[in-house]
Amino acid sequence: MTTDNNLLGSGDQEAQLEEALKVVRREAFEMKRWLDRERLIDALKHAQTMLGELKTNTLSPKFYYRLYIDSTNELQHLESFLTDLAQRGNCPLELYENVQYAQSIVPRLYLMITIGVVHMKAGMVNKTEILHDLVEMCRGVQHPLRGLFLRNYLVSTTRNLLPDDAQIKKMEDGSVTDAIHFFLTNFGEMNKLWGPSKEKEKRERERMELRILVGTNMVRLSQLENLKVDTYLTRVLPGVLEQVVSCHDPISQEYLMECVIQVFPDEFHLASLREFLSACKELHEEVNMKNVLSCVMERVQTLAAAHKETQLFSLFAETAHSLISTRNMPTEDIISLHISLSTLAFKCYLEQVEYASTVYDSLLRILNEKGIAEQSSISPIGRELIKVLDNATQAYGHVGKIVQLKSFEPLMNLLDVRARCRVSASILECMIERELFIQNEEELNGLEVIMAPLIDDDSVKLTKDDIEGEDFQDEQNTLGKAIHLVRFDGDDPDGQFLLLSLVRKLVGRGGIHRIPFTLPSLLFALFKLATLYKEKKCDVENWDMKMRKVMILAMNCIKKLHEIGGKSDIPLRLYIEAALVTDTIPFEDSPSIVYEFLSKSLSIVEEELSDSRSRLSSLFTLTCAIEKTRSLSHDDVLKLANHIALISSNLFKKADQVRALCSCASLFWSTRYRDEDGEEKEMRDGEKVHSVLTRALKMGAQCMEPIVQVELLIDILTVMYSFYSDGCNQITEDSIVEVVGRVRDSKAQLEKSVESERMDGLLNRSLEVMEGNIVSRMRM
Amino acid sequence: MASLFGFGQSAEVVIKLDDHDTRPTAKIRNDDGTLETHYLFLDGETVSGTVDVNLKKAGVKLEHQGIRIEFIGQIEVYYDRGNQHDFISLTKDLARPGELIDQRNSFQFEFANPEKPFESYMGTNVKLRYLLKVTIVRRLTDIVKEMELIVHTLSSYREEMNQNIKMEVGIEDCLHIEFEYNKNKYHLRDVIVGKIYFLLVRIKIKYMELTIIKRETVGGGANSFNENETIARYEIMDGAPVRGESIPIRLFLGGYDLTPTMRDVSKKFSVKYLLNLVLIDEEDRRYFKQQATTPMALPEPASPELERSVDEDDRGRGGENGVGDGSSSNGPKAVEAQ
Repeated sequence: MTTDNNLLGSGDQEAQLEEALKVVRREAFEMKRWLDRERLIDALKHAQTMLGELKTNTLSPKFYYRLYIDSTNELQHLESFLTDLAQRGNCPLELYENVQYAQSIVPRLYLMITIGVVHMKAGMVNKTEILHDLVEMCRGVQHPLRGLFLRNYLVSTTRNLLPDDAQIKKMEDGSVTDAIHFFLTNFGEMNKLWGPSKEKEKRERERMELRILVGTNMVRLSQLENLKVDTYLTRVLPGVLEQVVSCHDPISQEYLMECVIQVFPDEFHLASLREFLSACKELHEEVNMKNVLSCVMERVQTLAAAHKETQLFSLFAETAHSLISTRNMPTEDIISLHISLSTLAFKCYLEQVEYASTVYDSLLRILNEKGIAEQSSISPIGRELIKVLDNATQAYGHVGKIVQLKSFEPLMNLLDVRARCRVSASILECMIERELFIQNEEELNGLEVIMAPLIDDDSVKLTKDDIEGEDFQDEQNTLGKAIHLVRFDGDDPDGQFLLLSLVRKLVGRGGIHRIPFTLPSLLFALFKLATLYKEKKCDVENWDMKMRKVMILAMNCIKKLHEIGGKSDIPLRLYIEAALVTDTIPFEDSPSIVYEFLSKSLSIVEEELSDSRSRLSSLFTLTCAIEKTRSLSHDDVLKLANHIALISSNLFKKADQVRALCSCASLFWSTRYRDEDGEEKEMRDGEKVHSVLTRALKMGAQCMEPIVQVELLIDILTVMYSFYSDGCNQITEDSIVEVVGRVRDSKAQLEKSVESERMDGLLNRSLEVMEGNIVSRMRM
Repeated sequence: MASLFGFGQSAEVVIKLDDHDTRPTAKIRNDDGTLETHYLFLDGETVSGTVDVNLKKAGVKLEHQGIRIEFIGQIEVYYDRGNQHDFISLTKDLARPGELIDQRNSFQFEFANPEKPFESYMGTNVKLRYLLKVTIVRRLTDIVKEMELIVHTLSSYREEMNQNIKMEVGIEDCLHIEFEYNKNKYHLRDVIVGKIYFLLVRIKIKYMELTIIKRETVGGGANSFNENETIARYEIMDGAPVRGESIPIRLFLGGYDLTPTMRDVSKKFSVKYLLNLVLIDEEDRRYFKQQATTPMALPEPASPELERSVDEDDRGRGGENGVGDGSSSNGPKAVEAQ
């Protein structure tokens, strides 16, 4: 029980604490009893016994803290009682001497502080003297834990009593200078107590727990109202820095420097920066300077930005560089220091790129000297490097500005491919988020440089893992999105076309893994351009030719996409989309281009889609698309429709054939075309419709499954009726009636089931529609 | 014999000082540890008063061989009880042999400016006391009445004669300290103020304390006999200091049971006080600053005005001084005197 080494386990600590608290409660109770009878000496005796518990050696800081809190709470009671008494003039001055007879020093000092405070509150004594006496006498407790808590008690009980007047009003009350002196002394002593000891490892943990006690001094100091900048400069800071520098202990120094930075106002820091930074250079080798410097830079930058203080940056840069050159700092810390520097540069001098440039240049130089390369994004250096690059991204946002930092790209190249991609992607994300457009060729070139890892297949070889990785896909998607940022300044379609063709070239270098992400995006950008051209038709020379070029480029894109393989349905749909877009903008060659797009998509259906389901759905899509067009010639429509009918009847399943035929029948009827005179007409080819439907009926009849057959027949019936009601003479009432009859026949064979009921419903609905017109013959 | 059987006259003797209502009193610790209060005198002060002899039986006369009063200064060593040493013995006759007829008789007495060279003292092995003793000499049994007096000696107290003590001591390569006390002589209500500088600390100090030891020496030469008693034990530092640390000392003496230093009183005994600085390390080894404890002339000289204040404070404070731990309250463990 005698040495510090005897710290107990936490369970034992709990028990120990409980014991101690029991004594505290008992003695506190006795103390209050005597107080009630105004028997001060007896009360103080119990207070002393109570405080004797604070002499313990066995509690860890956490438990000691609880004991301290409880004991000092009880002292609070004593203090307020005596203060009351003192106000009535009943608190003898001798008490201050009386309590000093206590044999043990810890209780003695706690009582001295308490009585001293009472006397100061009552104005019975010379404040400055008492404060001085207390802060000096506390030296007697050299045990770190007990000393720190004792001095913390001193600081916290005296907090409202400290002189805080700029001038001395009453001689014995002192001025703010005395308060500063008090804090500095106490702080110095606490810092010594807190300092490292021989049993290093064990104490290190404890010290982290105790540091806040030391920090309290600073907080109180900063709360003095009359602490002005000049006093701070001449008295406080030199005192504190001297303490900090002279304690030669990294933990203390780091914490205390941070304390200074955090507790005092920004303008103090700005005024004292030179002193502060020069002290930084004298700190212990192991102090994490990055933290300290970053911290102070963060504090002053807002203020500095307002003041436009030009020296500030060079002051910091100078300090940082001298620290980097004289100390053996980890590389990641060096980078991180540059992050802070760059933040400062961006915050204060965003427009003057040279400030930020120096930061990045010097970082590049340092890293090159160290031979840093191929850093992954999870290595500490890589992580910091990404941060420093992101910093520029966040500050400038636009790639056009980022490339003004000449060292940006070389710095990026110190990362590995993955990390580089990440940096590039985050630039794009930033631009997308802020809607920063790429408005000219120069900016596009900048993008090309920075985005190389995302774009360029030659310089960056991808592994299979890369390609399948989520990151890759996300990044490429981002790149795809970013293509929409290409927007030529001033709505000039020609300029935009130029930019987009450059983009096409850029994207083209991406290789088969990237193109699927980027080309569709480009394509839609081209469609948008086409719309723009349409709006500006009158302003543009050689309009038809330019439109053609746009659409050719689009076709080229789709073709490229198609060529690299992969899923065919995307090029298919893109072709269709392209056709529809072209169809809405009639220009010289548009019919043939529309036809080209459609025929290309049709050939994809024919040649590549093997899965019958997707084939069918593609046919439906295509049919719809063709039905929508208006600019094709009669022949073209016929060709396409015939071909579709052909593919339809060659489908693998009978049911599919029927459905496809039903849908394509309308191509011959309602599709609009343009005749030689440029007039828009509908096909109205009843013969064709009839033959297609007849074929469908035939196929339907061959269908072996009765339920499917019934369904198909109902479908055909509906389609027939729609043609009939639209005035198609080849579809006669008779034929409809006949089909109805066949439906009924087939249906009769069905067993009663949910399905068959559904069929009943279908048929009845169809019949309801047809009623009115052909009722009489229907109900045979 | 007459009185023995009840026929003789007996008398009550009362000694009354002339200035009994104005003379200060002082307390002294008795053999059994209780405090006794007596009138206080200083060296050279006249002791005068009246002795009243009141006969108990009216109408019966008291025959006597003379009545006298003595002023005695006496040293008594406990282990040598029979051998009391009177260093002062002054006698005044109050009445020639004869008889007392009146029931009330009153006699004036005066010892003009008697020498009272020593301080009253009640120690572990020795006591020094002053008393007035009235004896009515009779054929068989004398009637005796004693009145004890307390004497405080005063010393001139000259600040400039008082030097501070500064000394550097240590154990080689282990501990090196320098201590400083503000004075080498303290009066009884003084405060010891000092500082200890740690020049080198290589031991794990747990705490440091200051003790005041009273050393009572009886006899002289080879036969001298020492008795040490710790009067005060006072922790002045908790924990281990670092190099260069200075620890303040402040010890109020007023709360402890101290007497002035006495040197070779009547060649019978001495009382000295030692101020002892003790460091205790984590293995509970005690490092006495033996060099440091050169006999401190502790409360040797006391200025007159401070002497007086001893008196007043003692009256108010009694034995319970502040919240002291009571280490001072174990009075002299004397051989019980009959």
